[in-house]
Amino acid sequence: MSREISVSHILSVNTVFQRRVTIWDNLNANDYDYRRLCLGPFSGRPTGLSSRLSGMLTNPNCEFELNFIPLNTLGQWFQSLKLNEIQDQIDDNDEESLQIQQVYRVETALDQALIDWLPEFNKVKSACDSIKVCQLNFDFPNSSIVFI
Amino acid sequence: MKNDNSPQEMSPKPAVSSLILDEDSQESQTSAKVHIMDCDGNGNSSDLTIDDIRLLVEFFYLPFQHGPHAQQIYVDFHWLRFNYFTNSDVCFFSKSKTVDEFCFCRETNGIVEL
Repeated sequence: MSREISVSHILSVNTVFQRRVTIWDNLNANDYDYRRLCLGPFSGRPTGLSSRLSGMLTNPNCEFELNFIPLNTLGQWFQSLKLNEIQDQIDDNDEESLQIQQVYRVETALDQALIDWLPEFNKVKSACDSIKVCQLNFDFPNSSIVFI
Repeated sequence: MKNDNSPQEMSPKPAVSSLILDEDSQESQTSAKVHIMDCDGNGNSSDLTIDDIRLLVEFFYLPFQHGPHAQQIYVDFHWLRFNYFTNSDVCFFSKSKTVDEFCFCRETNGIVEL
């Protein structure tokens, strides 16, 4: 897996495939070594990638419950993309508006994810709960998938 | 007969011999339920802080790096591993507080607190 994925790297891959690629991100995957756990936050992928990609998929840890931080921070990353898009539209319409760029910072995203995760530890759960949550459907888009 | 059951002995309330048998069994059941709820870990897990979870996350961080706090702990242990004997000599031979000894004590305290 890549420690960092730069915009220039993705641009060069796009020119090879002649289309915007989808990233299958193995950043937090641990299926190659079960002794490892990767609970760390989504990092090393700048928000500038979004316009050059047709999608971003994450390959999480095999232990579903331990993916709270990776999924939460990936969600924050995606949210910052959306906020930036909205901000760009506002800036185009009204030039006097303040330019507030929602930058995804790993440290603040991790802090927020930890705050969100803490209540999960106080919940009393049964085995049935995790089965319901794990029933996820993945739709693969019609595009090149790059394994990184 | 009932007084010999172990749940009654485990219940915090003292067993009263004059109770009717039905009431006595109910009381032992409720106390047993309370006991099970304690075992569910509500009391223990509420003691978890964000710093505890942060430390867990930083020890199992990303495939190519540890979190900053975990890195600091490894650095501190590395320091201890290669400075323990020399600094213990300093502590043994000199009665006065040297700079090295002070540093050693401070580092040790830091690790114990973490």
